[in-house]
Amino acid sequence: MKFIHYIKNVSGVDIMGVFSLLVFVAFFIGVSIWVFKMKKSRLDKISRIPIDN
Amino acid sequence: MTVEKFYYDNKIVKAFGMATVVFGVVGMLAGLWAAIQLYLPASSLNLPATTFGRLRPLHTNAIIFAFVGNASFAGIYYSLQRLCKARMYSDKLSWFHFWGWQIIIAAAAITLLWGKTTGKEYAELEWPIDVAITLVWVVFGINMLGTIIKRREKHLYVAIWFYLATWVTVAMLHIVNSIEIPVSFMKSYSWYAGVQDALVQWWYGHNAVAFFLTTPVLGLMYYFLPKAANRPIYSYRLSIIHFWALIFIYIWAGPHHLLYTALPDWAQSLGTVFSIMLIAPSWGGMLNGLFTLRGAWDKVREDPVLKFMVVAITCYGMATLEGPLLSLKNVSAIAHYTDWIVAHVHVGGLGWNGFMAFAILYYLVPKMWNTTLYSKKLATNHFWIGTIGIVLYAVPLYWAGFEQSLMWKSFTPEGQLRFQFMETVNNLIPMYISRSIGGALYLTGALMMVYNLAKTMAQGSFIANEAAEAAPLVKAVSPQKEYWHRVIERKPVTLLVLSLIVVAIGGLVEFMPTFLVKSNVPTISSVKPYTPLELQGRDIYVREGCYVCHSQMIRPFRDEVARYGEYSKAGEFVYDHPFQWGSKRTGPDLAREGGKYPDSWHYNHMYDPRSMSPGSIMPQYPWLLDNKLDTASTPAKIKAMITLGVPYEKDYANRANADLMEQAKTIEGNLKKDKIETDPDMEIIALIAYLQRLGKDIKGPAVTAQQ
Ligand code: HEC
Repeated sequence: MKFIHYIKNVSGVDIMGVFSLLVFVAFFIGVSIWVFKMKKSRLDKISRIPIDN
Repeated sequence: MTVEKFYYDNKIVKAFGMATVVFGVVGMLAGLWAAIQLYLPASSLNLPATTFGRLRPLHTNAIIFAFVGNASFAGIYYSLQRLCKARMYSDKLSWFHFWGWQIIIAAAAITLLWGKTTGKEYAELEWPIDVAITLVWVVFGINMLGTIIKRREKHLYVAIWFYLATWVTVAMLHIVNSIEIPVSFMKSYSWYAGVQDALVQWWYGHNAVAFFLTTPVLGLMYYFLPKAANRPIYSYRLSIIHFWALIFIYIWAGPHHLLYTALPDWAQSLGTVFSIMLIAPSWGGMLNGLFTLRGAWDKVREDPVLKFMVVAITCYGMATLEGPLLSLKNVSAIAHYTDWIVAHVHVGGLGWNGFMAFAILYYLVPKMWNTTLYSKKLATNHFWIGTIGIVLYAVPLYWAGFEQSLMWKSFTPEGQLRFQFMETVNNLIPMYISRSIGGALYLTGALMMVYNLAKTMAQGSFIANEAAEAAPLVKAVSPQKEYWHRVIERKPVTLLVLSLIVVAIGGLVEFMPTFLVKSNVPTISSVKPYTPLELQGRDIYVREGCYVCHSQMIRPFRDEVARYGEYSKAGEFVYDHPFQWGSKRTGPDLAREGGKYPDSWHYNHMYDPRSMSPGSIMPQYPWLLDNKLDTASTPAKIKAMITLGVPYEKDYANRANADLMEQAKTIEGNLKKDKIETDPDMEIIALIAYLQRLGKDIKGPAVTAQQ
């Protein structure tokens, strides 16, 4: 009566784990590329918004 | 270019700030009172409203939604206007939000103490209040988006991203977790049952921490820390990565609250993996905050605001390192159900949220009253007394949790459990006393702040409408280059939708298999719906908040199986709307309580636990012996259960009360044999029926436990 046995019978469940990880890795790489392509001058300007008010 | 003149609305900030202070003190008092009850049970006054099971939800709700909630709103209303160079979109909506929220808090306080609860932690409020929360939240969102849209600043500073993500995610969490079917004006059943209910609830519970106690406060950190230190955040790049990684990962980690329970294994592993990954963005955020102060530590020594922030951010770092560690299965095996978790939460609550709120209040009041802080010295003393309070609170509880867990798991060489449950409780009393002293110190500090702020207000004069000037935003036609930067950074609705997609992916992946694949929750043929009397008893169990001290989920460990019986199976909970697995074992697990003691034992134990278990810290429930059971509600309850798919016969609602009385008379008879005279239609009878039912559906075969 171990619960895992039921789960093993359900197909496609282990895919979920792999899928989640892949989605995250892709997402993370995307964000990183995006951030590092931003211009320094712009970043500096934006980061001063709270102070210049 | 013409410059426009406009006014920031400080009055609304003041209102939320005042509410923060008031409800902060109330929430801390409730917590302190509850803490004292754990070693002086009589201090519950034996009144229904003030017993631990009702006071604890009041404490948690007050701190989360009233104290931290109002503090976040104060900070958001202040910073958003300035970051957008615009007054709030609509004063009317601002005030609707303010009063709506305070009325909800008042309603919450009354109903929780009155015993009206859904029985799901941090989502205890009943359905009419849930509806009101949704309405007020939508108004808040409209007001915020409206302000952003009419802003005079081209770029959306990262703090605003955090606010938007907070708004959209909390909306999603609240709605999904609150789907319930009303039975009467103040009673409903969760739409989900058992494992599914647990999964949804902890997806919610975990992300309430993430998106109500963390993301808005991080937004505030990104505004108020640079402001107070008068220097920009260390790395704006890092803050963007922090934002996206955090909201993406957080949403998946909920199942780490359910390790080793009857939740499917793959979901547990998913929770663990994503929890570990959370360390990266959390620490990125912490370091970003602390590095902002590099070379400015002399300022920290001078300024109480920065002092509070440094400890707050450090506590954030500690709590977010500890959280992932607690998600490791072998650590969870020890820490779950113990005071360790309570300590962990309070490092976050007292340290991160509380100190951030104090810092912001110390910053805002002098600014808005156009003066300086009445006494820096008093604020510094507040800082120290608060810090000592946190240490005195947390350290003993870490110790208590660790030690109790080891005692639970300890066997004699002969293979017997070494300690009775009560022995492990007795051992905690000194730790409980110390923690309440820590809490009292922390509260004292907060009261010092109240005095200090009141004096500051008295010496200054309040600027209700603060004048400002800025050029209006011209529609810029920018070159094709950097298209995506522009879209995300300047278009709040796009940002909102993207955030929603990011958080929804995690939720969907987590739920889908459990909801779609029927065989994921195996049904056990011997598991039957509750009898009407048991159902009524279960509702009393929920009403009294027994789940704040008792779990109903036996994990597959040798010691738990030896102590409580066969470990729990997912299929046992298919009729549990809501689930009552609990999260803390101040008392023993009750999943297999049925048949352990005679009815009379329970009768006497509920009247006075110490008469049956000397030294017990469980509250007395004398009113259950005097209250008549509300049998008029039975048909409606059965009907609701039928709607939810519980297999009662179609016309059973009308016959239910006859069965109820019959079962009640049997229990009355059992009690009579033990010389206890009572009417059958009393609440205690229903509760006994429920307790005697627990775990009886499956008579466990020989047990194969894993260690
Ligand atoms: C403040 C925490 C607390 C609350 C709230 C609480 N209990 Fe307890 N309970 C305990 C402790 C501690 C024990 C162990 C000592 C004892 O037997 O009294 C216990 C023991 C029990 C036992 C005996 C378990 C056993 O197998 O020996 C039952 C049954 C029980 N509680 C039922 C309830 C019910 C029903 C409620 C709600 C109406 C409730 N408890 C609320 C702390 C609590």
